[in-house]
Amino acid sequence: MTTFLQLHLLTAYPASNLNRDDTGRPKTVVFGGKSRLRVSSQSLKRAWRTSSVFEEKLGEHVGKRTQRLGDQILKRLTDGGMDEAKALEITRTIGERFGKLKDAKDKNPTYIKQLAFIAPEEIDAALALADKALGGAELAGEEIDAMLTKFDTAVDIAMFGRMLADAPAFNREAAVQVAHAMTTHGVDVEDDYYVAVDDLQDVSTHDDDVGTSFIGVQEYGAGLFYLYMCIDTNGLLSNLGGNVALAQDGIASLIEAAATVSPKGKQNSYGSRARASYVLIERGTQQPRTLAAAFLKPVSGTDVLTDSIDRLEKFRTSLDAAYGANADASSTMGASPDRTEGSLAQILSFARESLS
Amino acid sequence: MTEFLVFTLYAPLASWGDTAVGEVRGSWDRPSRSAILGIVAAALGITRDEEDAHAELDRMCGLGIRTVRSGTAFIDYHTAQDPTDVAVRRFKPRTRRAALDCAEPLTTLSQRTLRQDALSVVALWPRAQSRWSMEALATAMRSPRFVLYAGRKANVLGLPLGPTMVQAETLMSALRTLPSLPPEIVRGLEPKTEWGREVAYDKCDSIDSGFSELEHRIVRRRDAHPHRTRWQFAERDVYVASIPADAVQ
Repeated sequence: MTTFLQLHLLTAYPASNLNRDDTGRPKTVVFGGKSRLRVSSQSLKRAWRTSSVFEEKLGEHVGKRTQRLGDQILKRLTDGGMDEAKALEITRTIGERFGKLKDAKDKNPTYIKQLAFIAPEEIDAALALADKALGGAELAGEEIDAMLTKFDTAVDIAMFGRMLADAPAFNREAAVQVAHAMTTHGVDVEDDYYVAVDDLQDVSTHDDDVGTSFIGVQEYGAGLFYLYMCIDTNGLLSNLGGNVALAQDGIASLIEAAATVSPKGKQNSYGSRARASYVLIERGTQQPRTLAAAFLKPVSGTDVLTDSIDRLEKFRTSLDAAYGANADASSTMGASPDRTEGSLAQILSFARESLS
Repeated sequence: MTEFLVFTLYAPLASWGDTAVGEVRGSWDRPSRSAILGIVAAALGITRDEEDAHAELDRMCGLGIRTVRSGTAFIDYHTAQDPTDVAVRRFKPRTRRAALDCAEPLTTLSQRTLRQDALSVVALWPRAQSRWSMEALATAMRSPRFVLYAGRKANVLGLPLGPTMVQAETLMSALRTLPSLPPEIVRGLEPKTEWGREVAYDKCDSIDSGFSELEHRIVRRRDAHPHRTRWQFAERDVYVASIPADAVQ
């Protein structure tokens, strides 16, 4: 048994091409006999995991955010009497486990290029390695691995897993599953026929050359997407070595990213950045299930958002009647003209409570 | 009379993998034995490395799958970027963002077949004693330990499994009456005789399959005795037969 958190989101995108296939068309899926726009699970996960929302919100409570761990290691080594050059080399060997280091010739050669989040336990482990080196031992790669990767302080890996074919000891089973997002209604992918005019083309001198320089077609679509995500909270906690605060922060950052971050496909051409108009979160030990079947019969009509919310809630109620309640508690946020209630903050605190 | 554990497997997107080397990841049109046992094992909380437990579950369960709707196939063009193994071993990146930063990533393109709107009904029967009773499996499926999915983690289930104990003389009679399903799911599947009637089942030594020697054909499929950490499977014979239209209830 575990406590599952299930998230259901409805997000509307105007003309956009968030996630495309090998021909450049937006990805689609035929669901209930009608073609829908789709954003793949992998595209959503990448957008969320690499977003600054995910990283920044997480950082506030997780250890220290720094580039300068190297300084501490270097100081420990040189204070212990090690020669500068050797100390620098060992510092870089340990430091590069925390992030890509600046160039060896840089004026701060021990700095990590990006700000990295480093938990107190990891700082202690790094300094312990430095002490070992001071004692004269050679630091083997496996030893450094063993000391630094007992569990993930990076919530990212604890949530989404890791698979290394040649180092299975580092594998992690993902605690979060993200379904492919699809529109609740049928969508026909449309073509944008565009032309590119040559600015230096002088029609007055070359009047046989009046055409444009380039013509092309870019496919796009628009729609209301249904997203589903499920978090296995016990699995997440065990991946994080039981660190409840970290798990709470991680889940809150993920939900915020899911509600506010858009995949980056064709953003410069379409400027399609949207936020969720409706969020439903459920908590329970019952077997999780997506509510996508509510949209098997495509939503039609002119008020797609209101109709989609209705369908979702009706289907949920009918499943509960048929199979018994599928969750012990839930909370809703609506940000549409017909449905204004709750807030993202409320959803996030519901999520946090689920782990305490 | 045998007691069968019957449940419904419905997923908006599902993939029942076939032998896959490299970029083309195909899918069978019906669930595999390894996928179903994987769902049961996940519900019970058996981790990938518990080989003995997986083997015990494998020995215990006889399996029959009635494919009501195999679902239309489509291909997901999947782009994945990862740093090289060498870079990962060296930098051990701690987040996805760091992994994409630490070295020039390698891009893998793959085509993954998915089945949309796949609906099957599964019947399990006990072939051997094990540490679990059939009721224990049913209880676990109602409150699973790990997330459940149809082939890939992104292929979430669209209905509760709804495990029920069914008393029946044969496998065929256990599967000819389908559980009551929400109207949304069975939309477009009327009348009942149009529902898929093909059943794929394990060799029935200890029970009566309800299909005669003449009715079945045998198909080889590589989805038996799964090794869960190495993703290796053995071949088995799958017996396939159809429930007669007039026997459907």
